[in-house]
Amino acid sequence: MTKRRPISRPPVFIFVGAILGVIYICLPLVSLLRKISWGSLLSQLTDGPTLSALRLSLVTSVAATVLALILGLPLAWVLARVAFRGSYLVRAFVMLPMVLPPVVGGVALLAAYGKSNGLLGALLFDSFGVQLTFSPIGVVIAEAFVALPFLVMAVEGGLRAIDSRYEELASTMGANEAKKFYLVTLRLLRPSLVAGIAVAWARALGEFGATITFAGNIQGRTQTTPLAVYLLLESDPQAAYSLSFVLLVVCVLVLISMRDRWLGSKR
Amino acid sequence: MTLRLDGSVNLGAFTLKCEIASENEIIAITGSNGVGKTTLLRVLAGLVKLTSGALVIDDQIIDDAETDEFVPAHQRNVSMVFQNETLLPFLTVRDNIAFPLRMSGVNRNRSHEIAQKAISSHGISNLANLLPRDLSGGQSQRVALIRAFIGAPKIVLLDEPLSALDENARPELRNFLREQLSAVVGYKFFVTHDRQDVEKICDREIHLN
Repeated sequence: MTKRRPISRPPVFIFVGAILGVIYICLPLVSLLRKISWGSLLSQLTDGPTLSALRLSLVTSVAATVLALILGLPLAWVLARVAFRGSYLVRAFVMLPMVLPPVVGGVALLAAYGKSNGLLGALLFDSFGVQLTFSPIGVVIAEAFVALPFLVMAVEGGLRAIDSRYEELASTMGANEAKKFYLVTLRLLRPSLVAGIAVAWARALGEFGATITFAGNIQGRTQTTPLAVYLLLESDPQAAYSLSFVLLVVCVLVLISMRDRWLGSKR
Repeated sequence: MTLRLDGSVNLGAFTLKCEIASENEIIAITGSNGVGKTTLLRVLAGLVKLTSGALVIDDQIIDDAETDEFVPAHQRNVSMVFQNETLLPFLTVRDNIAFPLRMSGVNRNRSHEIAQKAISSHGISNLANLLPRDLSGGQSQRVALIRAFIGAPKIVLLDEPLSALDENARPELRNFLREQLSAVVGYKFFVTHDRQDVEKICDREIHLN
């Protein structure tokens, strides 16, 4: 049911504040578009370092989203459906990367997976010679770290909203736990799952602080698009604007695909 | 062939105690709101475990609070119809009706064939490809009832299946239900508030209080 909207006009200061809010968000975005030289956009994006940053970003952000999904779906399930002592504490920790300064996340990741004195990283390096820091895998770990809470939040909300009667019904019709999960729960969860994946991917794609701290800024190896934008701003601002434009377009597309969920329908 | 339930369920502040024995008959479950009619069906379906006592069907222990033996819902060969929202919202009418068959291992084509036959014999071929959201309340319940009998269930549990329908739609579905329930060899429980349902469909009444 749609809420009835008040028909009275808002006070002037509310109206002015709202307009200023829109301008505050839109002015930088419009200014960015003004800076782009459309004629050379394509050539700038297909230039060696730019292209390799875009390619690395695409691969690592998709991998990070898959990792976030593998860990996040069971986590969301437990948070939504298992009653246990201290669940609120687990949720608080899982959501922490959402509000934590990304650079702090990166430092924490170093403390865990650093090759020389990381809690787990030292063991991995000494035993198997595996180094996670300053590698593309490090980029994936950093991106998944910040993207995970977004996925968990969307999926947990979705799971809570599912009418459990449909799952019970499936049981009475002979569906075992696995079939019930694949054929009913996952199907009912689809919109939330898609939303969670999209927003986690967008977050992974835009990750900067944790990535540069944990994985470094090595061109062709760990330099993702946001890192490239930052560096290019000094050496080749035009290319930085073009790359920023790509990230902006991707985010707008994600937002458009989520319009029913976040922007409200027109009803 | 008997079903024997002697036990209780404790759900927080609510406790249901009951002792029921049934043979091949249609039992009406009546009683005021909140007395535990739906809970009783959920115990029989395997959606709720007994807190004490046991449920024995055909000499087989289905649920025993003492020994913690418990046969889960999907292994009980039950069929349940709720008051509303009984169809899976993302499946067409045909797929909804075929669902229990698919779960029992019938392949896709064969289950569709059987479902289509049932749909045609009930004169609702025009609904076969529709989703539940495109059906009226009466149509939804009719589809749910067709589905309830498609997989030859041994236990049929109906939770006020006609109460959401308007008065005109009920007599025809009552005939349908009486016919279908009589054909099932097993245990049939019909929760209702309506005296007509009790008199026209059921063999015996159990009043919970």
